[in-house]
Amino acid sequence: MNSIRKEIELCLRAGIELAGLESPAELNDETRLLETGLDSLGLAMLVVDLEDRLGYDPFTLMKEPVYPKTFGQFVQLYERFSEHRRAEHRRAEHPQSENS
Amino acid sequence: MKHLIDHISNRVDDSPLIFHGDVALSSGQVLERVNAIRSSDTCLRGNRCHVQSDNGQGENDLDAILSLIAADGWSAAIVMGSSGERPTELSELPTTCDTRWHLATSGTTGEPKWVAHSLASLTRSLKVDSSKGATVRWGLLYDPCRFAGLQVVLQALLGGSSLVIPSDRTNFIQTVSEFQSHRVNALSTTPSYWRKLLMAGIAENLDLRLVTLGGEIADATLLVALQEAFPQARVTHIYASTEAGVGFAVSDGQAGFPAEFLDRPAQGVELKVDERGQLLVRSQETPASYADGTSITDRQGWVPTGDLVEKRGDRYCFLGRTNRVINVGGDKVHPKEIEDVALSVPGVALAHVRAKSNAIVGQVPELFVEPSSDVATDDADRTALRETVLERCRAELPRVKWPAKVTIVDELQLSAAGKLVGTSPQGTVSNGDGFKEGVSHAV
Repeated sequence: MNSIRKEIELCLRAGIELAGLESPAELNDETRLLETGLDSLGLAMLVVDLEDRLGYDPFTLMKEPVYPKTFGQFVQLYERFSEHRRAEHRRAEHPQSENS
Repeated sequence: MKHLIDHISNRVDDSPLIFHGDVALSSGQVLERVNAIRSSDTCLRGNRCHVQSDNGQGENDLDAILSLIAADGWSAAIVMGSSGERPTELSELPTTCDTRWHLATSGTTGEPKWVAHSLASLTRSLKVDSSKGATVRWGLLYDPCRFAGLQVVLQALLGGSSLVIPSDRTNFIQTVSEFQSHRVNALSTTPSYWRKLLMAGIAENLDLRLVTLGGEIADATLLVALQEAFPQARVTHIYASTEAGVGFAVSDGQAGFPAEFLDRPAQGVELKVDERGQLLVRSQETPASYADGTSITDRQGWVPTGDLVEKRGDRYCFLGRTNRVINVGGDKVHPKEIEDVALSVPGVALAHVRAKSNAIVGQVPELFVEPSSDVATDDADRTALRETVLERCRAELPRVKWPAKVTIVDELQLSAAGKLVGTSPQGTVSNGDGFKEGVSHAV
């Protein structure tokens, strides 16, 4: 399991426990986001929590609107913007090599 | 003045008007039920009629809507409320049957305020093209005894459309399934509900032609996502309140509203922005006062909306509320409640809550805390203080009021412009909200 997925799953389960909601037996890519055990408020808190831990909120960075429906899509969204941020950092540090 | 019962009597076809579960009531059947209510003791001619919804249960919503139709033009006053709400006492009743509709505001704290409307003020913005309306079927997602829900009911009844009342509004999946089977093609609800619908992966099951948002700030991301999800639909953001009625509707796919609305009143409602940046609205049908006699409008008839706006290019965008109230997915949270709890924690000198934008529920509370001078400045002590504050908030406040984020800052202070500026260990935190109530102090 990669680190972003692991972080999201940990935060999600912690959020479910904190809110006193029911944890899903299994969490896979196809699990519907609203059936992970978290309600809308829980998901909202999760996005803030992840912004704190990962350093970005993909929902504020996206140019095209995306509302993920499954846990897999949610993880993909964070992974995509992590890659995007790494590329931006590389461009900022080595502008010449990126342009050549 | 035509009353609701006249509008229903005038319907020429006898196709279903109201759906509820397996029941489909034609306009003739609706009239039969309405007349039965008028013959009963619950809705006496010339008297007041209490109409109450009950926790989203469709059976009760249907009864409430039929009672409203019966009472309009029959009772002197309708007092509408939700389950558990104490109805307002009316000191005097009008002598005619030009019925007054008493609606409760969704007050932020304490008792709701009651606003008296007429059928004219409630219906001034409705579209009443019955040939177009006949192709529209509305799904009811709001409480029919609140302003927004009543708008949907009246639009369906007066606009020549039909209405689907779900069995249980609180059951999200079942409600969408019922709308799908009844071929609902028009929905009005809050931005938070729309986001939930998009994320649930069931929005595609609905073939919507009219998509309406209201009650919270609608961001451009959501408006674009809704247009993509429902390419055939007209996506409209409605600006309205119980006091002011419907202010305006915007369907251009952008957040906020065109600045030209201030010079060229749209839909007959005038707008202006005061020196604080607060939006004011004025229309001829605005009720003059609350039921307790407090004035709704100023001397010139303007209603202060409590919404702060800012001009950006050729548009005005919504920033938040003048009273700092945070709208968490439709639930209103007053910052002071959270600040008071934070200030009760030993070691907290100052506390300030602001709204943090959130893609799922619109806004969440974010808390900034300045430690008292006896708290050590090392990271471990700050982390411990942050955890204690969070624990105290979670123990003493309902979940919707839990701060989504707590930041310990060196110093909380207001800038000359009245904006919060805090210096955190990570750097400076500044807030563009523009609120002026300032920072809460520990005593």
